[in-house]
Amino acid sequence: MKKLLSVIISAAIVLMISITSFAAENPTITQDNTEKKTSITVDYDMAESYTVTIPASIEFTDDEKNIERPLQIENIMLNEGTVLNVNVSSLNGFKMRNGDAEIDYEMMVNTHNITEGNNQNVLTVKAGEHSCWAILHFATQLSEEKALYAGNYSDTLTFTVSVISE
Amino acid sequence: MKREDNAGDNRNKFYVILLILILFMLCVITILMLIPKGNCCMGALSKLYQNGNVGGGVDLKIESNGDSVTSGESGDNEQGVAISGITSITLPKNEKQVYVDFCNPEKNKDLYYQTFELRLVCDGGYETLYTSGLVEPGEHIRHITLSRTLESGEYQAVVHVQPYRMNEERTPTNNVDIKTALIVK
Repeated sequence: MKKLLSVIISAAIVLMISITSFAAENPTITQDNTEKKTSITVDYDMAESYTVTIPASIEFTDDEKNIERPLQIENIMLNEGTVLNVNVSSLNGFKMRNGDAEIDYEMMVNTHNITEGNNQNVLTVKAGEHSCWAILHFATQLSEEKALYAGNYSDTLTFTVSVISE
Repeated sequence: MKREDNAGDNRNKFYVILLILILFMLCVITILMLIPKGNCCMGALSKLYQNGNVGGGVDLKIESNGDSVTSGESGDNEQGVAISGITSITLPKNEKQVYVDFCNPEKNKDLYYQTFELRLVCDGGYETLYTSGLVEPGEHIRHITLSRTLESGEYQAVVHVQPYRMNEERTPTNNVDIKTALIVK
């Protein structure tokens, strides 16, 4: 029995050594194997990304004729040497319409009046910044005298986002 | 004599148990060494979950020509609409069934659906290649069918994102045009 056991244990030791040799194909770095050198390549592809948050709508009332809404860009990850631009344009040329009737309104970013032309720039972010925001100011001289008809006067804004070389 | 026999039997039992233990340990060590690290079934499963929902959004079909008007139903503190940016889209040439990633951010939960329209910019206008249905917050559209195939090349495109409030009327809000490069190869 002793002989049988010694043969089996010897075979087991040989098997373990061979398994360990196969396992060595995958580089393992431990504190003990200082004599072995292992090299691995570490890389990570960071995709370009960002999230822009626009005001869903702006509602003027008799009590609220000056409104501020934020425009935010977050989680910005751009390629080096590029900039992210946000422009804005109005469906009705910055006029709220109700059928044929219309009421003017103004849109400003800081002191820049966006209403002066369509597709105006409202925010620019350079690569390397992770978040950015601007406050959009909306104002109207809404009054019963200016409105021809009762009803809902509305306009739609389209924010155009583009990433271009600096 | 009997006592010696019993001692011999006990010794044999001990050797058998020891043998079984060694074989068991050998099996465990062999299995552990043969499993490649980070390449198990759970990895494949988690990849499947990461892919999320695939499809064209909820059932409702929307006429999304982008010319709709805002409604006056918003409150003073209405939360803005979050739009996921897209910088480039790569498509295979001469194929209608393609892979993209249009996402309605989770941030719009309980507030806004979104529709996506892929527009190819032409001289002074655009050609619509794809229009989605309503996409719920946190969901993606990944497999789409284009209206036609494209030859190899780099095109200018716009992804028009139109949000809709999650109310009964599903009123449209302000919207976003994302200028993007359409790379076909």
